[in-house]
This record gives sequence, structure tokens and C-alpha cells, in this order.
Amino acid sequence: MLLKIENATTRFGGLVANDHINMEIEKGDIVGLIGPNGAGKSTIFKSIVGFNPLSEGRIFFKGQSLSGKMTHKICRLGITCTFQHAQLFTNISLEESVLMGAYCRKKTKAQARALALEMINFTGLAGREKLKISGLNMFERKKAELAAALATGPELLLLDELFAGLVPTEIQRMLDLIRRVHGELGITLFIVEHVLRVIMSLCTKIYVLEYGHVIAQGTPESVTQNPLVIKAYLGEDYDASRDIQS
Amino acid sequence: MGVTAYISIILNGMLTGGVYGLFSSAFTFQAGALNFANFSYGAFIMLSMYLTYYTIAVWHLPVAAAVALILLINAAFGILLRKTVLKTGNFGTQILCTMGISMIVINGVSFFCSSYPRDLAILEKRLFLHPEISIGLIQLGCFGLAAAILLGFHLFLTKTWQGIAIRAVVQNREIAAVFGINTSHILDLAFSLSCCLIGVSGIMLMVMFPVTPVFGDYLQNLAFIVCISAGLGNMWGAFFSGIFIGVVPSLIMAILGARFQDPLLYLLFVLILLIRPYGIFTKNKNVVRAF
Amino acid sequence: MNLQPKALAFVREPRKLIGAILLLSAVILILYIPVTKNRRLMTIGIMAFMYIALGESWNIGAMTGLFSIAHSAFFGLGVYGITITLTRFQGPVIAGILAGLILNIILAVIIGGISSKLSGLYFTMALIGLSATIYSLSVQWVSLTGGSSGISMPRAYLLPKRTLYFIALGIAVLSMIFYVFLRRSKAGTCFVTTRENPSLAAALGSNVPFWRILSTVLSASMAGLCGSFYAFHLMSNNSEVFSGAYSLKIMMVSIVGGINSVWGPVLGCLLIIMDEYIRGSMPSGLAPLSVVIYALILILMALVKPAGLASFFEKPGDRHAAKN
Repeated sequence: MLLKIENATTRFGGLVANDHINMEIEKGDIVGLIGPNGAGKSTIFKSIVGFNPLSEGRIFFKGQSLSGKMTHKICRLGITCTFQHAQLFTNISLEESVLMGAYCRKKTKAQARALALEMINFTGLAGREKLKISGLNMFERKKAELAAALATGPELLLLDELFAGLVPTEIQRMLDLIRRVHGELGITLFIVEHVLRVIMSLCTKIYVLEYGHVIAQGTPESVTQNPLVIKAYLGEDYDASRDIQS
Repeated sequence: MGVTAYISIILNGMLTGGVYGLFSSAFTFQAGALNFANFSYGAFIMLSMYLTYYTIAVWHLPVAAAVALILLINAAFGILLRKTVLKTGNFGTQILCTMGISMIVINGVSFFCSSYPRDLAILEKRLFLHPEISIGLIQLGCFGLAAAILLGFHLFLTKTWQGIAIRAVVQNREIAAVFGINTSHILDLAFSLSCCLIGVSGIMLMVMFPVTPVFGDYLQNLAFIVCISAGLGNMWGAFFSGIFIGVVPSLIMAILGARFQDPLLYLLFVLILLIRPYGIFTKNKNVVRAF
Repeated sequence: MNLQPKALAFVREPRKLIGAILLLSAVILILYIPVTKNRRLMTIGIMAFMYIALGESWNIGAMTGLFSIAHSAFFGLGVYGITITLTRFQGPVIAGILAGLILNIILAVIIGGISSKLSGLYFTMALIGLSATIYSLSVQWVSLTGGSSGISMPRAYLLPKRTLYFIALGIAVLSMIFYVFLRRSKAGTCFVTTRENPSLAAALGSNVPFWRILSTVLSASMAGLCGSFYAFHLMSNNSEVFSGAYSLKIMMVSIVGGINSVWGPVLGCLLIIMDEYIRGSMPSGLAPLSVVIYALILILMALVKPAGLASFFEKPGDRHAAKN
């Protein structure tokens, strides 16, 4: 059991963003998290990496409790997350941004740089490393953030709406890239997405969140046929078969 | 020292604290609500004080004309600042520019007026509450005026259309614009009003204290202490903290001597900063960063 | 592919060429001045070198986003550290320098700690409060610091102008080398990412509070060393070293010159040179006016070219990629 979320509850004043959430992720899984906006998806991500403390409940990574740990320590343990808007680091070069991630595992600059370039190559950004982030387009920025996250050598990678804002051809290329991240690098993935094609074709298990509760969980087929999920999120006209086989 | 002496000190300190509270309130409004780092604040209070001195004691203008002149000059500077420095939005630039303006004003004043202290030297009348406890009538008047002005400003912000518009713009500029509020003009108005408060504070301070070109820096530090202790943006909190700041230095001076007055006050500030940085009176920790 | 040797390529970029020529002339001038034995020129040179080092120290703090509005606090602690050690305690010079460093490290750790709790305007006001505390302590604690009239260094430590000139030059060059070395190291990357996006940096494994404190400590220590040097230059020091005027000058050198470049403070110190010239040529009664002049320049530069003078020497394309 790689990640176990037990009764996680987060309250912000009077608002309960996450309400007794239970989730399990095995090593090698690709798990999806979907739900309407404001359901608490980003909140649970932030709780996992230590940005918000839990009001109740605990999160275990490889059997170890994560409560009270600082974010950078959690990263060293093996969990890295990417952010929704891919701002990255505005005024430094791509190479240096990815270098930041590489320093998580590598001690010397030479080693870190080698790892950074390797990840830049892996994500298909070779040749662009000297450019500042402001000079990259949206697709390249997303790949850049992914490269930086990969450079930290995670076992579990949390992707928060990585596919948002991409055109269909870019979605296909990013999908192939993520499949390689899972297959070649052996990284377990936990994905929050609204682009359902991604969730349905990648994930082995899906959790559905609404108003802070898990209202459904299971395989893509079973989740898309769940009437609660259809009512809360998918809509009556949604045809899952179109997305699952891509 | 007897109890009556302490009561005297505390009461008088509270009264002068009223004016501290007034200009601190104005500063916390500019800084917290309008999000403007104005480091020329103290300089303009000092300038208002000098203008008060010159208009009343040297040029012998009638009081009403003097007050109007000072308010006008401050409001004008306020609009100038808004048109130039505030436009940038870059916080570092604002600080640098207003610090530069402050240096210009302070050095300009010391060049044209030289640095010896000026004092209106108004004869002090005291009101005796008790054979050994007295308060200055001028201080009482200023306190009353300060409280009245602050109350008026508060009522303006809550009851009048312009005031509500100001609060709307402060909270969410885009939505306010959608409702037909000319955000630029409203912010001009808000800023000019807070600058007028600077002028008024300067006038009242001149009535109570002597002034030198560097007095403004001292007042600005006091304003910072008050505003951080109260919580930025919290106007009533700033007023009451101002009163507190009026009392504490006098008490320190009475008990420990004038030497310790300033250092202890600033050390108290540092302590508040370390223990409760978002302010004593605020509940929301919106000033605290996550990283 | 560009087969021409690098030297020619260098010549083809006009901005870099102009920069190189200016640098060469500056180096010639710097080495020529001590030969002339002109005391006034050497004093101006000393001040310029010292402000270069101070500017580099400010830039090191700025790498993590530290807007050190009261940098003179660090500087002044260095000045007083050595002066008090030498006069009141009759200690050796090394102890004096160490005393200044220790005081600065303590202050820097406090400030670094606060910077992880407070943001923006609050943090700036906190810095001002801290520096006001130090200033008022130096004025009031007369037995230790000599109050506002200050204390003098013992006569025995008076150094000849030439020596001071070369020490200052050495400090300036070392500070520039240190800046470049720091920026290229792991610490430099961690500093800059802390400024640009602290939450992402933490998510990538960077211990953000630690890097903030470290950069503040390094920045403070460098400023403190400059202060210790200044004590030997001025020989008679008072509370004014803690004043806002020094902080403003240091910020001017860094910000007008350019925060993200090692050459920024070098360009910024041109303003210092100008200020020293003007003040030396004017009757002392007009001294406040020189402050007005450089404050106006500061405001103008801040509004017109926030990236600093150094950005004139960058190619316009340097900041963004070519579209392809």
C-alpha cells in the first residue's frame, strides 16, 4: 500500500472542504480524482504534500504517517505534486528550474545538471533549456513543470489538472508522455482532471468527490454508470465508451 | 511617585494618544485597505506641522484659511502620488519612491527652515479633576476632535454612498466596476481623504508638540508600531493602539527615565512581532504567508 | 551553425562591446588613481568600492526576495562591533570583526525567521521597527556606544589612504566574485526559486525557511564586514551609520544598478561617485540639496527603468525566447 488516506477531514473555519475521505493507492496504480469545482480535490492534494494540516484523520505513505511533516520533507520521502497553473519560476531558465528539482536527490551540481538534462530530454524539451520560462508556450510550460517534478525522483506523482488548457493534439502527446512516465520510470500517478478522456483512458481506479465527500469509487466503467456521478458531474449525455478506448 | 501622579500620566498619555491613533488609523487605511506602501507618511505630517506653524505664527493667517490650505496641499499631494507612484503597483518601487519623496521633503524643509525646533508655544490651560490630577485642555480638545473625526470617517465609510463605494472597490475592484463605480475616481477620493487626515493630524500635533525636520520619521515609526500591533487595515484597532502608544512611553519615562523610553517601545514592538505578527486585534491571519 | 570564433561573435554584439570598453577604462582609471596621490579621488574610490560590496550584499538578500529596507542596521553593527571591541574592551582586530559578524548573524536569523511568517508590507514595517530599535539603542546606551556623538577608533589604527584604497578595492572584487560563485551554486538556485515561487520550490524539495535565513545571514555578514572596514576609514563613528540615509544609498546602488546582476552595483556606484563629487564641491550649507538630487534620480529610475541600469547592457531578446 503506497498511499493510504484515512478519514481525512479539513475544515477552513466553518467550511468543511474534505469530509472523512478514505482512499488507497497501490504501487504501480494510476488513480484518478474527479468531481465538480469546489469539491475539495485540490484540498486533498495539498493535504497530502503538507500545505494544509488535516483537521482530522491521517495520511500514510509506505506505512509512515505524514502528519506534521513539512512539504520539502514529504518530497524527499517520495511524493511530488505539480500545480494547476504551471507558473513555474518566472525569471530563471528552464534548465535551472528543473535543476531545482534535481537537487532534491543529487548533491553536486554536476550530477544534478545531468539528471535535469535527462528529464528535459525525456519530456521532449531538449534544446530549449537555456530559455526563460516566459519564452515557452503553454504546452512547453506544462512539460517543464513535469520535468522538474520528475527530477525529484518521486515514487508517487500528484498531477493537478496537467491537461487543462491544452489543444487536442497536445492532449494526445501529453497522454503518451504520461504513459511513458508510468511505464518507463515506474512512477505511481494520482491525477486530478476535468479532461475526461485522460481519466478514462489512463486510470485503473477513479474516486469521485462532491462537496468534500467521496461519492463513488471504482473502475472507469463502473464509475461512469453510477447514477450519483452522472447527476453530480458527468451529465446525462456523457458517453464513456468514446473516451475509455483512447 | 504617588498613585495620583500615575493616574495623571496615564490620562494625559491617553489624550495625546488620541492623535497618534488618528494618524495611525489613516496610515492603516492607506496601507491595509488601499494597499499602498507610503513611506513619506511621516514627512508629510511633519510638513503639515511646519505649515501650521508658519501660517499661524509667522504669516498670521486666519485659522480657517490655514486649515483649508493645509488640507488642500495634502489632498493635492495625495492625488499626485496616486497619479505617479501608485500607478506602478510594484511594491518595491512604491517604497523606494516614497522614501525618496520623504528624503526630499525632510531635506527641503531643513534647507529652507533650518533645523532648530519650532513651537507654537500656546499657553497651557489645565483642567483639574482632583487636586493632584489634571489634564491639559488642549489635549482634551484634540482627543475629542480626533475621536470625532475618526467616528465621522467611519460613518462616512459605512453610511454614505461614496464610503460604501470605497469599501466595495477595496474588496473587489473588478466587480465594483461592473456595478458602475468609477474605481479610479473612488480610489482618488479615498486616498485624498486619508491624506487630509494626515494634514489634520499635523495641525493637532503642532498645537501640542514642538517640531523638527526629523520628527516625521519618529512619528512614522510610531505609526508602524501601532498599525502592526493592531493589525493592518483595522482602523479602530489602530486608534486604540494609538492611545496605548500615547500612554506607554510616558509611563516608561516616569518609571525608568527618559533614556529607556524609545528603546523599550521599539523592543515591545519587536516582541509583538515575534509573538503575534498579524496584530493583536485581528482574528484573520491574512498577513501570514504559507511559505 | 555559427563557425566563427567566440571572440568575433562577442564583438558583433554592440551592447556587450560597449560594456567591455567601459569596464576596461574603469580598470585603467582604478589603477591610475593611487598613482596620482590625490586624496580626494582616493576617498571617492574607497566609498565607491565599499558601496559596490554593500550593493552585492543587498543583491544576495534580494535573491530570496528579501527587500532589505534597513540594510544600514547590518552595516552599522559591523562598524560598532569593531569600534567598541577596540576601544572599550581593547581587543584585537579579529575579535572586533568577529563581534560585528556575530551580532549580524543573530539579527539576520531573527529577520530570516520573521520573513517566513510575515509577507510584503508587514515584513517591511517589521524591518523598520527592528532598525529603529537598534538606532535608538545606539543613541541611548551612552556608556557602551557613546550615544549620538559616537566613539572613535584608537589613533594607533589609523591607516594610510593608499592602504585603505587597496583594501576597499579588494573587498569590492571579492564581493563580486562571491556573488557570482553563490549564484551559480546550489544555494543560488534555491535562493532564486524561493523568491519566484516558494510553494513550488517546497514541493520540489527545497527547505524554503532555511534558504531564506541563509541568504539573510550571508547578506548581513557581508554588510557587516563592509561596516568593519568603514570604521577604519572614518575613524570616528556615530549613530548615523544606522540611519535611513545609508540604507537608501545602498538600495539605490542595488536597485538602480540592477538586482539580478553582478554588474548592477558597479553601475549603481556611479551614483555614489556623483554624490561624493557634488557634496565635495558644494558649500556645506547646501548639503541637504545633494540628498534631494539623488533622491530625485532614484525616484526617476525606479519609475522609468525598474530593471536597473544593468539591463541596458542585456540584449532585448535576452529576457524572452525568440519566437520559433
